[in-house]
Amino acid sequence: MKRTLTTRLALSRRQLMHTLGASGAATFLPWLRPRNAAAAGPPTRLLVFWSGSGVPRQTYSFKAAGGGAPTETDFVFPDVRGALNPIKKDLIAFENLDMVSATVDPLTAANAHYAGETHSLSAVSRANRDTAGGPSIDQFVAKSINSPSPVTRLPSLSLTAQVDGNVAATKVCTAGPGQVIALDPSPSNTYKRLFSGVTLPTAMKPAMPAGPTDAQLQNKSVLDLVLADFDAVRTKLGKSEVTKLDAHADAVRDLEKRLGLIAGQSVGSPTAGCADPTMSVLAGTGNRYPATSDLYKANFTAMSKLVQAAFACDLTRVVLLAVSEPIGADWGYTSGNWGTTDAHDLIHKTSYNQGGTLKANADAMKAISNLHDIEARQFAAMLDLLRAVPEADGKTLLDHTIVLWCSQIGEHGHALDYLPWIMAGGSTVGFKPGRYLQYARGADGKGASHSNLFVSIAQAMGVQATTFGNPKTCTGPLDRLRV
Amino acid sequence: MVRCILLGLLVAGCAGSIGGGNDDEPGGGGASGGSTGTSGGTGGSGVVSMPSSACAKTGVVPGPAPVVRLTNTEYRNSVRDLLPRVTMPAAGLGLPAEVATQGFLNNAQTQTPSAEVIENVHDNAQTVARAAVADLTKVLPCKPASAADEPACGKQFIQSFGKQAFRRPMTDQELARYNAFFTDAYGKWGFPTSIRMVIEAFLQSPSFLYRLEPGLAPLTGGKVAPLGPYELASRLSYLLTDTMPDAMLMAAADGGKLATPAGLEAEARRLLADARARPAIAAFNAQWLRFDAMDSLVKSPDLYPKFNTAMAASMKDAAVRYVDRIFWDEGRTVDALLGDGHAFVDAALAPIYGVPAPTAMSWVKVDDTQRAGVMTQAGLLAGFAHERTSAPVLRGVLVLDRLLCASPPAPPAGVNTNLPELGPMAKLTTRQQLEMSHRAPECAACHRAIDGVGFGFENFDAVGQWRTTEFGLPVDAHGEIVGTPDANGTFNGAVELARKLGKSQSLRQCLVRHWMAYTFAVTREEVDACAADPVARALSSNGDFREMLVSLVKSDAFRHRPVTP
Repeated sequence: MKRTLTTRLALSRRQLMHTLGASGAATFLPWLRPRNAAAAGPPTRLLVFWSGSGVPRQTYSFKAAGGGAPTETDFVFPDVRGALNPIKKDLIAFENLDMVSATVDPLTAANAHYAGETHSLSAVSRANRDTAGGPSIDQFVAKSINSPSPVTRLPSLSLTAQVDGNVAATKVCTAGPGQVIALDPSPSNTYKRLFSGVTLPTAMKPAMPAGPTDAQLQNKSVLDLVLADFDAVRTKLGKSEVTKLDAHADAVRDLEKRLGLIAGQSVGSPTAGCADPTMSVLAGTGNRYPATSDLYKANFTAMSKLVQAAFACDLTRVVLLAVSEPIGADWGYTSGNWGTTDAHDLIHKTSYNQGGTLKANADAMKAISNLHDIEARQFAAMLDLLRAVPEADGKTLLDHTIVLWCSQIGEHGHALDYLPWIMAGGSTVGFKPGRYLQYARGADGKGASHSNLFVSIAQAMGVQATTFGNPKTCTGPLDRLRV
Repeated sequence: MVRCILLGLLVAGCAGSIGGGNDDEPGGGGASGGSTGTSGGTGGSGVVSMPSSACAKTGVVPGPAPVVRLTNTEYRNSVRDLLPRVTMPAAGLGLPAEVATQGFLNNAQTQTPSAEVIENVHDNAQTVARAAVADLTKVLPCKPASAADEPACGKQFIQSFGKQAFRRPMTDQELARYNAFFTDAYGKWGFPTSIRMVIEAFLQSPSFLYRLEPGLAPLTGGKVAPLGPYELASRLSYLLTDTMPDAMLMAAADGGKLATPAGLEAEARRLLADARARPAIAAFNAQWLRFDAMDSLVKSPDLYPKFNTAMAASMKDAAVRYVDRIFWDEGRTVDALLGDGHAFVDAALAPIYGVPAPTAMSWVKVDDTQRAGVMTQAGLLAGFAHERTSAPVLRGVLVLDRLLCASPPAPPAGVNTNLPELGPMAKLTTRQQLEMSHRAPECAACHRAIDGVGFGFENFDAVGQWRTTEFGLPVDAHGEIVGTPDANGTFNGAVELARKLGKSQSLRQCLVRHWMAYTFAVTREEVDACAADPVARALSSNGDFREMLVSLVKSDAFRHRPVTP
């Protein structure tokens, strides 16, 4: 059922406070803007494609096609991302994009990787030494677009393509200050969440067209009692305790709607290309140790296909997919090569300026180039999947999906500047592709703030944000990104 | 919540220089650890004891009392104990993984009621409730002879089941709400369905999923409130047994016996003698000592051809058993944990310890001139090592962070955190490489503390096996503890290091701080020094781990909460 602008803006006080609370230190008043185009056409999705290491800075300089200095439209990806050249017309690359918010964080990180991990998607000073101080961009957008009511079966997916299933140390996805959402490493669990109990495509039609079933009535009755319990206990507790319980209760309310238990509520509008990928998508997947190349590839392939299906069937509009480093054997690394202790050590030793003792070793750099080539091909494969799904307006799912490939650190030596981030898709909401956006490095040595990039993304997703993360390192949308 | 002043807690950078730290800190994001050579460290003071006079003036110091959701383990155990005669689904009760803060999986702030958590709790409630009503005789306290008896039986069930699920008697309003719900459902769908729906609701209710602790009327001054008997019963039970209060504990709460420290002590001692306490304590110890570092271990096959996943599993199993045995059966003190000369050994681990291979995992005496206590267990040494080499930085940070609560800060941006590149002929020991690398002033201040401890383990290679040479060069395991209130000084090797640490009051303070952080589900910086002080004194005077826990349970902090607006 199409909802009116009035209902979209009818945020309850609690919901509004909740949303504000989730924005951390930012002075932020998000609500959904009227999306006339979106209401008529396919929705806009957000895919945050997150990986670990960035690339060595010395390998990441762009040139014009004929050599010489690149321009906004005449540019060639460096060899380390050469696999992207055939599709560069679909991409936006950046020069001088920095995690500026990390430079003003008064709290030292617990280690050099958490320094980047806590800022890469939240852009705000840490809540504690190893946890971000506000929501990650994916969760911020997901909460905003699913308020006051869920628009899809799942508000977001937070996934990781990796092998051993250990996720307790990964904190990139946050709902608010210090509030971590664990990434799901399991393709089979993700499949179950997306497609279990869903009969496509009827489940996405308005809920309960023929009246509710007994099971639905019973479930709603149970959840209403649960919500009454939440209302009753909140009167006995302090404000900060109530905030946490309210977040839980809101999620239960959303669940009622997402399960189609509220009359008149419907979620999702699948594309014509919507299809259950079936259990066959899970072939060869699993979370096991030790890591093998086959397992790694199967998990990545399954997760990327599940993302495609989730978007195509409009089961969610926001996905964070964290992709772990490919297996060493696939890119030519064997333990001990070049005197390194492990692949991680090699990556650091090929850094541009932070102890890159192997940065001039041709063999080591060849391996590193292979590593980043695999990543580029993974990214391109993900884009291919999105491009393959036609939308009702004659465009593709990729045109309607804002894709950001970003990373925990910018460079092999933990640096958080010169971020080699790349965007794709979103052409229907102003992300004109085929451009290399060069930003100036200021007198203070700082480049363009990645907070600004997140404002642009939030706005394109229909969220009226003017700042994101630390307001001191955010000046609004990123210049020239959307046209 | 009013956050009390933190006393004697080191968070600052290293004395006289920029901050330090490293990529390799336990708790880091990289599963494979990082480069060996990193800058960072601590020169700070660690935890110091509060003068008792200062704490005496502060009056009742409550512990932090954030609202805590049951951990995954607590939740699963509670569902099991709530419905002991019901067969749980073979696949288990699904929940998303938990994310660690300072190594612990129960941090209240980190807990997020994500959509996936709510879905799982919902789906689990439906699954369990369906299984429960498959045979009503296994869940009902009554047996309706006819349909006419069903409404009364349903209400009786609500009252008894609700008290167990909520770990307190239901309020009149709650009883009225649940009874009305049952009556309505019974009228529409009959008895089994209405019972199923009641169970589903209880399993999703905040009073089941959370430990809610509003407390009793505030003490004079209005800032501190004692906890009520049922709140204390739950705190006690979840802390010591990872599950809901049993019938005897509920009876003690009913009878008002938990209102005094002596009453709490009696129940604490009873629970500590209960079999369920062992896995609960083991869970704390594994998180405290970062046993997760033993998950997914990888070692280079050219150097360690016998290392495989089975050996890795043995290493972790042995370490878990070792701490369990020390805690409960052997020594039961910090001295034993740091100084005991045994290990659990099986056929896979025997070569590492240089002992004859037992037929099964066994408690074996090891060479006590080489090894002492938990820090020299092969698994922990292998977990805090790289694929090919030892990792003095990782091991040093492990000791500083987990045993002395003096965790080093991360290295400053732009600092070279890599070891120098050496030609293949220019072999140096791991120690020599680090010493070269950390000579730079921006590294030295912090690494004096980190490496000073970490070098003490240099007699152990990447799988925790004893060595006296590396690359044909003699190993040097001399070290020095600096920056602590009471453990400073030089030592030679892991045994002497363990002996120094074992005598340290700072270490005992730190252990208590970790226990209290875990009890209250907060970071250790949020634990008030005066709250921890009496417990640390108990650990020092008696030494027995169980006495420390009894003291913790009897403490003001455990029995009171701050009054929050």
